[in-house]
Amino acid sequence: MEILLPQVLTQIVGFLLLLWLLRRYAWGPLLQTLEDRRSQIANEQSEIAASKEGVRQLQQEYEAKMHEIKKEALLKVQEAILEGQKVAREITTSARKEADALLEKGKENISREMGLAKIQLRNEVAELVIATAAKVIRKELDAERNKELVLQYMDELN
Amino acid sequence: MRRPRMESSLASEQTSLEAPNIITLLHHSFPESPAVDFLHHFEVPFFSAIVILGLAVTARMASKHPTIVPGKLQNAVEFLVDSLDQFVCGVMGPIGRQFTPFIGTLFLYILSMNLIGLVPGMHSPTSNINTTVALAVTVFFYVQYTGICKLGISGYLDHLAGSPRPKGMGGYLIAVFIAVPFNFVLHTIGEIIKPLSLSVRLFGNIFGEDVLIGQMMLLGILALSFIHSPVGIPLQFPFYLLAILTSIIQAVVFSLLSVIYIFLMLPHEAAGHHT
Repeated sequence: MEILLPQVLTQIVGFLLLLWLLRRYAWGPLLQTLEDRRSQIANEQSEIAASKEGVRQLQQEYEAKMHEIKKEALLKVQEAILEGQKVAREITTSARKEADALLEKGKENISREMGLAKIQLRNEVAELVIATAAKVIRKELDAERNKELVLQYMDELN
Repeated sequence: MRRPRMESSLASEQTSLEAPNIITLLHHSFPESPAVDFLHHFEVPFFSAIVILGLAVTARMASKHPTIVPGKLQNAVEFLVDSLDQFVCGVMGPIGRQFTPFIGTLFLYILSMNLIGLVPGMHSPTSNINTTVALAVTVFFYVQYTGICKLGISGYLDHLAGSPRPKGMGGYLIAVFIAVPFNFVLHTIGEIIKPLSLSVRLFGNIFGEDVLIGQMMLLGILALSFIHSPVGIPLQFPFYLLAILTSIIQAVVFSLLSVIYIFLMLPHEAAGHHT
């Protein structure tokens, strides 16, 4: 095994040539690309973190608004319930009044009808009494005069 | 005329232990052809040139239009580049980024040269001492150049003189007359020994594995020669797997030691920051 200077020098030149080529075409551009990508990823990650923070804040605002809206809705529902209850009370009161009025009217009608019926009944009773009395005493009386007498008698009885 | 013949015979002796490649086959077929003889003489640089061409073309194709969202080739090459960058920076810290191209190229070149020998008809240039010596010499000069650039001439000489130095007048005298000359010689020898050990380790391992594969191939052919079989038993196959492992390990070892040699040459503050 012998060391041959021309071969050693040729190999050195070959290696230096390869070093120059790779430094120019591989190490330089690719390390730069890797560095660019690294910084781009870092920037994007920080942007994503900022976006996440923004989204979190928006979510918090949204939740707060939702809570507020729910609260308002609950209040409105409660107000509506109260209003409904008030309306129901008014309706009940008015219905009760109407019912009372109708009842009163009914009672008046009944008493009036009863009055009329009483008058009619009295007349009929008077007629019957006259007829019966005429039969009993077999004495004809003037119809109108008899009726007056009976009515007078009944008034006295009352 | 005598010397090339002698070199050629040495080369033949070495290559006869390994599996034949396209150039040895050509030389065997056309021994008188001057072109084939030239190729045979520069067989190792020829295979190195193939590796250089392959790596350069791959690198060019991968980085021709680099995009943020990479394609398959760019992705694969970026993976290698990033892994090697992390490898160098993992040892040296952030300062290592400037040495990534040199160490990365060294690693890819050695790995490719180690593996190309496993392709039938090809030959590992690293199984030749001239290649490994060339690489080690390059590393040696790169380390010294880095030392001079980072430390300055006086700092570089101070580094070779060693530390710590004895203090006081007696210590000064001891340092000037004993410690510094001794350390200087020791460090200079050390700096020369480092590339020598790098080259011999790589050469020995790859040459050994190629010889083993060549001999196992020969044994497989001989085992079936009594029935005149055109194909032998592939006894070399398990050693291919071993050779892949060895190729990677040797490339890593060479690169890692180169990184350490550079790191040791850097100012202590830079090293101290990292450690």
